[in-house]
Amino acid sequence: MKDLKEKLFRTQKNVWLENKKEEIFKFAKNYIDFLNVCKTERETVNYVKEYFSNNAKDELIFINRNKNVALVRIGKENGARLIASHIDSPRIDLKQNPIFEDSNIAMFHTHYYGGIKKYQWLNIPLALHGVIIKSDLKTLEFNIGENEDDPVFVIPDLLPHLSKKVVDEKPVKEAFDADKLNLIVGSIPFSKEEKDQIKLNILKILNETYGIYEEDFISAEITLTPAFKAKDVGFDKSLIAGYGQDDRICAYTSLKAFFDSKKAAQTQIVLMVDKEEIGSEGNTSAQSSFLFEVVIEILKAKKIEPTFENIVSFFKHSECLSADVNGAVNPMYKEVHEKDNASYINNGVVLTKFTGHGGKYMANDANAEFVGKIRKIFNDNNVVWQTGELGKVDEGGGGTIAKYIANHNIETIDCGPALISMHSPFEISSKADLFETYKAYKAFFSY
Amino acid sequence: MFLNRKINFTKLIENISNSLDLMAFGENPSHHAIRVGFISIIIANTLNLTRTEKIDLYFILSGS
Repeated sequence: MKDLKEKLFRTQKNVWLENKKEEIFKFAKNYIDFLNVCKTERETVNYVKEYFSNNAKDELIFINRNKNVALVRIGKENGARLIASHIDSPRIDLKQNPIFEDSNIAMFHTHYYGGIKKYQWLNIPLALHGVIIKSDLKTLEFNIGENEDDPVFVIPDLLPHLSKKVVDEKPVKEAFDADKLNLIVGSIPFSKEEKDQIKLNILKILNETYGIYEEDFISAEITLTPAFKAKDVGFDKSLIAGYGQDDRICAYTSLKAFFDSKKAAQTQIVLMVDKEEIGSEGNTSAQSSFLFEVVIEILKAKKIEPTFENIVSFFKHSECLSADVNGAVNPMYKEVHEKDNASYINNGVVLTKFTGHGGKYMANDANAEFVGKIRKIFNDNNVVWQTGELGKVDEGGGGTIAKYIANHNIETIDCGPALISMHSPFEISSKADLFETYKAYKAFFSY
Repeated sequence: MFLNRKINFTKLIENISNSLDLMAFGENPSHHAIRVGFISIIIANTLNLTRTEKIDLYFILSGS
């Protein structure tokens, strides 16, 4: 009976029992360093650019508007093996007219970006990251709050003594008004005059330090990210908590896998896109024509005329791992998952056949043939993997860029690690799953 | 992984509204609201959305 069970049942492995701990920890240390310097899509593109210049031999790099990037290693055969991640994360942005003064405090208006739980962003140290295009079209890039000596910024919560009616008795969805997510930026008045003296003092400081004026905020992209550093979690240091792991954990592992893989018969591509968290809209998103541009350049480099027919053929012969995270089972909220189809921490990289929500709406549903191929690649290369569906069928749902890649007639499946507390300012991943994701991507590039 | 939001329905409904099949309701821009209303009722009932979601859905649509 035992033999039959062993023969017929699928056994889920635990990554820690399949790999050397030292190797996993070494890989994770570099990843933590990466998380601490890449908190926005622009910073990630800069990191990739630098990594490319230090490691590239025959590879090519394509950058689109400093917000998305593709790395390419050209192969002889038609089509490509593509690993596509996104490098934007849920956050809070400044409005275009941000600064105002109220009750002796200068504040910035904000507008949140992506699916956040608003209460998680109150009274935590925040850093400002951004780019300002000044009136003379000069670019100012900055971050304030990441260095030890920098000030940080805070969105103030309401004291519990007075929050009973306006917060505590309301459903969470209604308790936190987005227009109250305002940021404290200062409190010293410039002079004794009556109005806007604190605002004036802040603008004076900004003008003296950065040479900017109030109107410059209109041509700016300024983002609030958690100011704290990514850290090891637990007595055994087996986990990592940090901001932006959705989806920079996949960006990092795909970058490492790309440069640690040898040239293959097919072209290898790492694609990192922006705007996934707000539905992949816009010219830096997965729906932009950037991928077409990259493919056209690949065909040109291969001395193939980039006709519509050849581009379509290239896509048809391509395969993609849509590198994005899944939601790991949080032991305190097991009820939102269906245990046999949920993903778990330390069980390896997750193959998500489809995302979407109840009824698979708006999802890419990977073809069984392609799932079978990926399963074989992972098994042949001793990759510890699991399957995962995001929660119970009608529980809620999410999506990735998979459907936009698949729309090009590219075989596509979601593949990435599972996170606990996804979309929070301090998301939790497993070092073991991080390492296994790297192994999976490397196997995909190398088969 | 992005969080699914109801706004996806808006886009879906917009696309359906602008399809040739629905032009029987009228082709002028002023008929767009009628087409959208018709489609959203069908979708809301098919997906068995709750009343709150229906109100949200219509609210979003009225601004489209």
